[in-house]
Amino acid sequence: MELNHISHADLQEYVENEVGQAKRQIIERHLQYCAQCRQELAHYQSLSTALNRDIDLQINPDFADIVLHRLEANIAQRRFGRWLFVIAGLASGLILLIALIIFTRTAYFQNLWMNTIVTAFRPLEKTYQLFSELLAMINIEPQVIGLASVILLSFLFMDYIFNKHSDWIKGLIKHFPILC
Amino acid sequence: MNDIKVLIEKIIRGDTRAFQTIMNDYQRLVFHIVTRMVDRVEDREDICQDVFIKVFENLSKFQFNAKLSTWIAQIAYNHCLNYLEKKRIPLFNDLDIDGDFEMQPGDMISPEEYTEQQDMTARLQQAISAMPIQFRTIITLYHLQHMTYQEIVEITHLPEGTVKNYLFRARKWLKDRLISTYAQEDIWN
Ligand SMILES: [Zn+2]
Repeated sequence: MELNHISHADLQEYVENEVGQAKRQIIERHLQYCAQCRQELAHYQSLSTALNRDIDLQINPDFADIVLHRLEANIAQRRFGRWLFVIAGLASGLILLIALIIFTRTAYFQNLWMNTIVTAFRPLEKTYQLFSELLAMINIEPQVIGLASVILLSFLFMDYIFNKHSDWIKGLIKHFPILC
Repeated sequence: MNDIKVLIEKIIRGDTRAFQTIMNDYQRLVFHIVTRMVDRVEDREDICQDVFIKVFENLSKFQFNAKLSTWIAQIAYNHCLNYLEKKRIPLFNDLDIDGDFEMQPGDMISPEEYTEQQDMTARLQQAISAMPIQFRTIITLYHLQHMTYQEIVEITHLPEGTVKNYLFRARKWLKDRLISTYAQEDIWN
């Protein structure tokens, strides 16, 4: 008989109204003749009532006000932080600009600037030379390459305009907006 | 639902006063969870404040197809978990099915308290505080907040079977404990 008693889980679910119709009937039939399970059920019913009784939470009556105060302080602090950021950004930008203006007026800068241009263009010149030699070797006129580039670029452009472009083209255009 | 939406939109725009309504409606929910998960009384109020600040700051992420109570409970539960982790307080959530939990010395009822605690509620609270935190939390959500198994699953991220198992074991433990500690006739009154 011991094996046929209602399980504690089922008794609890019965108390909490969590059992289906079929199980409910089985439990109720068993309870009619089993005093032991009735006793257990009574305990669980009392426990459930006791558990459902609300507890004293001792909430500070100023609780909501304290939270609101903290929230407002947080917001103010963040706003101040943002302004501080803007002001600091503007100030450092201004300082940089002034420094740059002063710097461009020095003789040192004038010389440096000229040197930079010359050095920067030297490898470019070399590359172009190398490129035309290469083209001459495989017997293609530079004009053909130029034409092909123009066609390719206009294709990319049309593709972008008509919104049929693939993701990598989109990415390319995003990163190199100069293309369109 | 629409009222809630209007209210939340107001709050998102920075209306902190509108947030007072949310606090009034869900204060007990948050305090229930924190009270049962955090033993240090002096830490509880700060944790509840932090929970509501988190709620305020994350309100724009709230999905309206969810229940606000479940969402807030989730934030409170997670916040308490972080607190417990920081304090290295175990949850005992990996307790094996037949495992029994012992009362901690600090949870024992002192003779003075014993005579003071004449009513069932106080005795029950003592017994509940001796249970593993995970058990207390689930008992609280089910019995004090009247949440469904599914809502408890959403809050705790535990499987439904585990939630039920913890509930069954917690209730059985409480029943056995209260029956064995006190004379049977006067336990529930
Ligand atoms: Zn029986």
